[in-house]
Amino acid sequence: MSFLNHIHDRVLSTKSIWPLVTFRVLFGLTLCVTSIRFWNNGWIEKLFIEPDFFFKYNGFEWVLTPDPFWIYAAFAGLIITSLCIALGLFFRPMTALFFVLFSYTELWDATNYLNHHYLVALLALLLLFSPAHKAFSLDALRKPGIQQHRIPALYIYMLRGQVVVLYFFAGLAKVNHDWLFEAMPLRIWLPEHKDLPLIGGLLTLPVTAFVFSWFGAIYDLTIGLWLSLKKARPFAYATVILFHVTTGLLFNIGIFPILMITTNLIFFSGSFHEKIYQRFRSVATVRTARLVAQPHKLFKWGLIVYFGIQVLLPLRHVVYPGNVLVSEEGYRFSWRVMLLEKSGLATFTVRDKTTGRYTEVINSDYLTDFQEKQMAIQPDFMVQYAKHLAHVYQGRIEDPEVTVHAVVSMNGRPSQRFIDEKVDLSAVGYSLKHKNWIQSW
Amino acid sequence: MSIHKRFKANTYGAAFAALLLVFSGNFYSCKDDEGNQNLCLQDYDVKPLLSHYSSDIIIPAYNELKSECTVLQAHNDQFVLDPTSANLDSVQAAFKRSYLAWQSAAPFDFGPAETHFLANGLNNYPLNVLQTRAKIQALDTNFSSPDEYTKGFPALDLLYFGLGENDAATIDSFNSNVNYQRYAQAVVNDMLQRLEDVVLDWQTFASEFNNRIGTASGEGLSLIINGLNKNYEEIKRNKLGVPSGVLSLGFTNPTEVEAYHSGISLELIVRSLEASKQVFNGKGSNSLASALDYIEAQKNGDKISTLVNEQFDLGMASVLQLNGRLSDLVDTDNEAVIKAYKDVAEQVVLLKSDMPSVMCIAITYVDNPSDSD
Repeated sequence: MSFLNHIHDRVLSTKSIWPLVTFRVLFGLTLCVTSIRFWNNGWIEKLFIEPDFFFKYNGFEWVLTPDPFWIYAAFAGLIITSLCIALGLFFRPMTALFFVLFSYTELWDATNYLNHHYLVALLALLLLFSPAHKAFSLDALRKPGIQQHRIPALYIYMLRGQVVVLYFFAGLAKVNHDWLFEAMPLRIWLPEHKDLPLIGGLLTLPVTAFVFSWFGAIYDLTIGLWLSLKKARPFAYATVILFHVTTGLLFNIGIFPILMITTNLIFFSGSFHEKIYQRFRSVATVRTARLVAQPHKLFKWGLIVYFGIQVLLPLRHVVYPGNVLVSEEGYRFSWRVMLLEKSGLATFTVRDKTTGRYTEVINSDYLTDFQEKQMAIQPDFMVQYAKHLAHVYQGRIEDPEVTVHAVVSMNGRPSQRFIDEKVDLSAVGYSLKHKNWIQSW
Repeated sequence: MSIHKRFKANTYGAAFAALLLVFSGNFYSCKDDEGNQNLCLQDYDVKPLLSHYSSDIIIPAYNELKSECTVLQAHNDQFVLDPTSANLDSVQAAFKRSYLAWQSAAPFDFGPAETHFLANGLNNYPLNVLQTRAKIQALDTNFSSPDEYTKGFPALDLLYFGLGENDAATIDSFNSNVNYQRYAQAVVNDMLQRLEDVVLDWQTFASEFNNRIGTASGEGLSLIINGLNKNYEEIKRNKLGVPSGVLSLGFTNPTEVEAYHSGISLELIVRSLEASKQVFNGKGSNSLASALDYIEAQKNGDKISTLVNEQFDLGMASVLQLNGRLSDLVDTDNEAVIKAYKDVAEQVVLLKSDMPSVMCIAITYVDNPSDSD
């Protein structure tokens, strides 16, 4: 098994700590700015205080959205902990707290699911186990004894691995008919920027959408490889910057471009990073070459399981029948980004099974506009909403049954019915099993 | 290339090939699309369409409404000055004509109309009768709050038709209480003021509108489609849905019909359906319908423009089946009202989902409050 030995030797060889340190600092700063921005834009109010009802992730229904005070407290916590990560102050408890708080805020309302927020949670989790605070940190300043400049390569590789997984599956998701042969949805989205200086006119041309689509797919599928190869790296990184700056300008994708541009620095060598820190000699000096502590065996096994899950999650859609883009079964946590221009109309009816009395539901009575928009395209949200409606009408109706007339249209197609109108959604089990009442086409 | 690098590249390549194979299923899933070409409006010239709408449909609708309301103002002045039966008849007739004219202008609630809260100013219904009476009592004629239901046509509906059992009672009220006279005048003046503002603003807004030829939200086409849909949902929900009780467990709400006191609810619905249909078809060859035909938009093998027009006719036929006052019908023949509601509602999918989707107009009725990915 020279093959596995080879891998084992490589991940346990030692590497310079500096790429990891750069990652820690920039990740912390990025998330600090992000949390402040989130607060400053009034999104806390809009997303967590205004709604009366929240959608949950399967298995996390018990995570309740707290009172406004605690919501703001959680975001204050995010700002502080992310700053501590950047500074390397009380690194492990602060990173752990950041991970918990960030995941907690994400679990409040599944309406707000974003792939790049999922990525932040994953990166924070990986960072938590790394020795990223052992150089250029306040911790190392406080306790010079922990200083270390060589670390097991594993800690660098796991972050690179996460990035490769993200890109590759994002690319794989683009290998579909609409993206490659219809240039959809870019053909809808790009012309919206026709007023941009210089390139605006180009963006309205169909050929531009095709170029962007194919370039995007090839970029996502292969950028991990190019970043891994030393000779290709400078060129690859220049492409990273070009790609993410362009998409950042054209689409409303928040911190994702900055997150990727900074995180991808992890691919550069130790000596590349070290140059940056030479000017901070006083902070960065290590007097003794100490023995590098090897990662715990449990951690190594944990990582194997982790990456197993990372590979299987984006592929889980193959066990569900129908088109994942329509049914959205297996859609989340799979790096499916920018794939769909999709909108739905969902009209719910609550009916009293004993008297036959019924009412159509005005969704805006219970959901925010944004929640309604997301609910109308995601069947698992419809189930949660139907159960909520049944609950709301209890008392006024003895034996409520909740059905929905739902159509969805995507990527320039006419709409199609996609939910069985006869099924009482308030009575269906809420699980990961295939929902046979979804009429995917 | 060193051994481990070649090794790395090879592993990557193998994984790549294997997963690509898995994902060939992605293509399979779209094979049922039966010649769906995703044409979009890419090479369709939107500019003539926008100028057609602004100069042949929108501005004329406002002009007609403005001239009807000017007539209404004159008749109102006369009735207030001299509350006779003949003068009441003419102000009531002018009221009906203006209210009908409003239905044709209602679908364009964007740009100047939005700025001046035209829809809220003219037609917030059902009227808040208690608050309106209190305002009349106090002669409070401040109509600046868009959320108040004390003004516009619904207030006039009460003043001209709802103050007593019959016209004689109305005349008595106007004779005995000067507050009615003043309030009626203030309401009409407020309506006319908003309209004058809107008409004036359109003189400059038109050229800006005609040049918004893009497909993003806020561009001309998206404004027209949004406006059409907002108004159509209004017809469906408020004009028919709420009174018939389909939104309230079957408990009907006869007093919540539009124009409860004058009882012209059904005429108004007919006119608003005609107006929606005209927004769709335009008055010539530069309409939403012709844009759909240009890209040969189809749904299940039928032209979408045909489907929309058939659905308009179906909804209209069901509404025309209704005779009398809508506020009575919801309690005497609600089945027919509910049928009309359903036939009108059916159109929403075509107008709100199918049309913008096949035209590739950004369907952002709702912008993400935060980021997307």
